[in-house]
Amino acid sequence: MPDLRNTSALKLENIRKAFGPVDALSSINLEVSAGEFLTILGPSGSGKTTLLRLIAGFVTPDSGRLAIFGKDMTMASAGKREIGMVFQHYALFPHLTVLENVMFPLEMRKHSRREAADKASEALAAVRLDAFGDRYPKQLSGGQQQRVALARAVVFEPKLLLLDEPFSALDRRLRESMQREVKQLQASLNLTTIFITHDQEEALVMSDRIAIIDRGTIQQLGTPNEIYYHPQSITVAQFIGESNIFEGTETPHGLRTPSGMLLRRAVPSTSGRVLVRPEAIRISREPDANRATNQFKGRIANRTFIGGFTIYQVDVHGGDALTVRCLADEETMFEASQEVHLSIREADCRPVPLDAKDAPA
Amino acid sequence: MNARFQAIKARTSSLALVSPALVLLGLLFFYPILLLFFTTLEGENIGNYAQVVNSGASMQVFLNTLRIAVIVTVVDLVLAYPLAIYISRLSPTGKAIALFLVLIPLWTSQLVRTYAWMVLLGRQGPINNTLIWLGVIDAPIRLANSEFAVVAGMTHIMLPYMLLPIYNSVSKIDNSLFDAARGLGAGAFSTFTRVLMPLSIQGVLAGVSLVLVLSLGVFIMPALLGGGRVPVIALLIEQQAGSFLNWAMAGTLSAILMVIVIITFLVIKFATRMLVRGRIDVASA
Repeated sequence: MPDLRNTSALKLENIRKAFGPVDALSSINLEVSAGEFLTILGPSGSGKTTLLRLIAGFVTPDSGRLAIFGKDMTMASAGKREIGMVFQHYALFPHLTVLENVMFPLEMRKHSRREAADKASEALAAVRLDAFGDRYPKQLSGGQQQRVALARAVVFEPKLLLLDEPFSALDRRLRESMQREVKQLQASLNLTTIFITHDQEEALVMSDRIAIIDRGTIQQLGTPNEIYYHPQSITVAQFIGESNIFEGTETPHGLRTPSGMLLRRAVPSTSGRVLVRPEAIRISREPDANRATNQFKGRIANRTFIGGFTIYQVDVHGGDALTVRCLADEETMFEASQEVHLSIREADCRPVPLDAKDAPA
Repeated sequence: MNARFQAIKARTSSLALVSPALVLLGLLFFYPILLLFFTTLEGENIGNYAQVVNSGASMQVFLNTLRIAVIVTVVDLVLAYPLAIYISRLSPTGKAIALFLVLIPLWTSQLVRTYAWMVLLGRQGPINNTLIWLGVIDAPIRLANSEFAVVAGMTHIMLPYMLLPIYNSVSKIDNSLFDAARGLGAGAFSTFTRVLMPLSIQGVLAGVSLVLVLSLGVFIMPALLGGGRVPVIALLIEQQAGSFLNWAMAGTLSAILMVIVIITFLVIKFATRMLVRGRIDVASA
């Protein structure tokens, strides 16, 4: 038995792909360990779809190397890679029944019809659709079609599972239950999964690690916590979650913005930029007693009530406009143009490193 | 109740909209055909049917017509299917250009195209000249005035009728289905037999029925490119009506041709029903 513990499930080395003069992907390096749930997160046009098609084998790279469980697959055709894929619009075969759809990959692998039918029924049972085998895809709801696609993608015990924005066509409630279902199935099969999405919330919920891709390169790779609290660039900070970003000059006491706000930090930095998440800002009528905070006075410009949370836009006196997000509390709602005190813990003023990509050209 | 009323209303108003066309067709098309048909049943004319069926020569012409129609249909199918798939994968501009090129022959008079074929296939035509220049043959061979010429010409003329329905159904197939098939382990052959073909079979059968039916009644090509060597039923009908002024016999032959056409059509329709049964709107996945 070869020892697979040190072999990554998927390894991309210096992958480059251009379409005409445009680099869709440049120097992509990525390692995914067995059983991991990795999300590739990026806006549309970031190169994430090209990366997915490249992993699936529908596109071959101009240069670089791709290996699946240590085996070079750079030029292998899609069918040889043993990858199960769930397409954005499911891509179920409309002329085959649900059961026949799930049997398809098994029949392509020369299983007998009997064996294929048995395994397919099992896979359908795993997604609670065993009663729907005789239906045609068109007769199922979106969520059910999604589950059929999932059963078809895992029935042949693939080495990797690829999910291409599979939840984008579902409504919010269904999406959340499908996310749980996919996550459970993935965990129970211990299936290495690569998930493509542009939805940052979905990425945070589902992933072991997230790779943020933009302009054809991976901007940052890390756990959801690392990505959220320690973004390595402004691009990443702005893409994940809401953010208040301050730029200014470094002083011995902290960062001073052009408008005169001074932000003290727990960790010294010289990057000239500070990120404060909207939920890290306390808002109150009276000044905060805690000395280890940055305190500002401001005026509510605008209030948005979204149920569990309230989002305020606050103009700091003689300073910047901030976005503040706090748990909604009927007793202490602030009204527009009300004077308030803001406090930000020093630890919540997080430096954002300066990198070449963010520097003005 | 209201919905049902709406449905009835919609049906009546659409019937009202098509009624001018129906009246025109009925008066100028169905009425003369029925008239001709009833003429063939009048008095001693009815004996013509027995005469045709018992005449080896006439039956030979029917069989010959059917054989040519089948050859043309098969050749067109083999040519049009890959072409339709190819066109469906072109860029939007490429598609527009390709479809325009396909449609040009449809806008050109059949007579003009037939003469073009006569030039192409002539003794001093480009094909003979090229073959001689290449050293394949020493002297011009007879290409025109043969069944080959008729089949070649008909294949050309009928191609759009085969191509357009197939293209229509192929282009409706969601491209991700082919990716899915490949990713799930299907090779090119399995992808074709298990995915592409079942999803475009309606277009294929529509094309087949169009070309088959049109080929059964074709007249100009066999008349001009066959040089009298390629007897088909339309020529026989023309001969009876035009040369022998035997309208009753022309009518009988037409009626038999019509029955063959209707049977062909029904067989294909039945085949379509069998092949796509149970599926709900297969093309638009």
